[in-house]
Amino acid sequence: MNWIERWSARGRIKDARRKVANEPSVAHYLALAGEHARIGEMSEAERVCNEGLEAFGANAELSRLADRCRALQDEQRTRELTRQLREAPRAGLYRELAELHLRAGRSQRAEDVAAEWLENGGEGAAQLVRAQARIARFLADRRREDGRLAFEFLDLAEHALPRDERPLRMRLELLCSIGAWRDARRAVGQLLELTPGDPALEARFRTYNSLVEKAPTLDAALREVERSGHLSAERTPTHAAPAAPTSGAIRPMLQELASQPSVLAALYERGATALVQGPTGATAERTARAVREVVQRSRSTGRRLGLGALLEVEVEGSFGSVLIVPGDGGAAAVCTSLPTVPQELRTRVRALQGAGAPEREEQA
Amino acid sequence: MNEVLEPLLRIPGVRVAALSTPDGVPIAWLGELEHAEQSGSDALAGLVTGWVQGLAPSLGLVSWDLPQRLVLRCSRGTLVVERAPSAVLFVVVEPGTAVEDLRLPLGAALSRLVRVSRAPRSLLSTPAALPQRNPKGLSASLSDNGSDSSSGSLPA
Repeated sequence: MNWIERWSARGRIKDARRKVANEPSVAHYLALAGEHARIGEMSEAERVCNEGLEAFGANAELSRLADRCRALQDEQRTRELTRQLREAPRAGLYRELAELHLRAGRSQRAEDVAAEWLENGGEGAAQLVRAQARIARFLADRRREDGRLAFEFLDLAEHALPRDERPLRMRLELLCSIGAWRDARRAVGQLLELTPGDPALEARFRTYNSLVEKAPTLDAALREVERSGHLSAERTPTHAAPAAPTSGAIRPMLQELASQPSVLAALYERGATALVQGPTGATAERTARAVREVVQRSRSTGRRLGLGALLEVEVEGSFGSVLIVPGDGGAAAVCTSLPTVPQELRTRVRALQGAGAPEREEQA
Repeated sequence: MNEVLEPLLRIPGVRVAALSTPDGVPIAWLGELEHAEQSGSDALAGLVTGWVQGLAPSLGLVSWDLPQRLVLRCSRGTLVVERAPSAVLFVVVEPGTAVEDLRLPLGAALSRLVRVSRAPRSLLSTPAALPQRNPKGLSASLSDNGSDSSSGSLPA
């Protein structure tokens, strides 16, 4: 950017600042942040967005712009760190780069950085970052193999850092997330050896002690997470035995959805129970079964492709179009005769799925 | 086939663009899937086409035909599959990328694919070399004798 452009941008920024001061609004904050972003002042743009968010609550546009500014700054810093590492590698740079990748959800790259760091004498700290990256990957994809490797890397980190709490704490959180309470109790015991008398740890020890009897083995817990796609905390009794989806919130929404022109079927299912509007009798049952099968297959394919948790499946063909929105509570689906699912129907199906989420269900 | 896929990979947000046969044999593969359980285009193309084929029995309840377009939206990316007459074209895009914007480029890629596969082989392949020009004497003798070289009457 040459000096003329910069000079003219300064003028526009001054105007935008004046507008924000005289009449604070989301649009004026967005305009000011946009002007800063245009001349490459990402940190300033992010600061303006945060100020706007403080003033106007959770505004989607401001949040999106703030996220984008943060991502651009991270990208810039990543490039800079990569260049510096090529010139003169050192521990601090490796750590920061790995953290940046982890923050951006690039766990594989973080692990690659840790592996490179290990080659350059990273020892325990690098092992810890590698374990952290693998744990992030396991939590995103819920694959047993990732979990197994995460524990393997944690073993190595503990071996390299014998009196360090960090790998033990990481192990404890991972064990709790999969519900392997027996191993979690052992990890708490090891932590108590390092910090004797810690009341929080002692309380945790007592809690896990009461859960040990029915606790699965480590391998069984990993297997269960892979099979169900849910971590231990997501399998609380409310989730495990959900109420039938017949509460007031869902049925009217389903009926409204089914009454839309071109909608052939609308359904909501949770566990083995399904509410279907449109088809009746055996056809309704078969439609519900089809949706369940599509969700199961798609969930496993998404995970194996490394795409993470399933959010939506959309199918289009000569029959029309189908949109399925699965979630923790249950899956909502709509089958239409249109070649694509219109935006309005998408919004309704997402809202239906959201209404069936356990916490909303309880409120209803 | 890379020339069909390359424009797709240039679209912002597209991580992978690939083409495979309906039974999962990869024809062309551009890009990389970072977190996939298995590496290699063979395994991944098999996984995608396996998913498409696996949905057929379930979707058979609503249609005789296999679906034309499938979108699998996940937390770390979206898989978009388009079926061509004898191939499966698919792309993996970053989360947040507008999948609807890919409708036109994917359609264009499929049309191009169909055009390429239907074109006569003579247009696609490199044309054969032209016959070599005969030496001057030989051509003169051929015109004199009014017969070709197979007759074996070369001039003295």
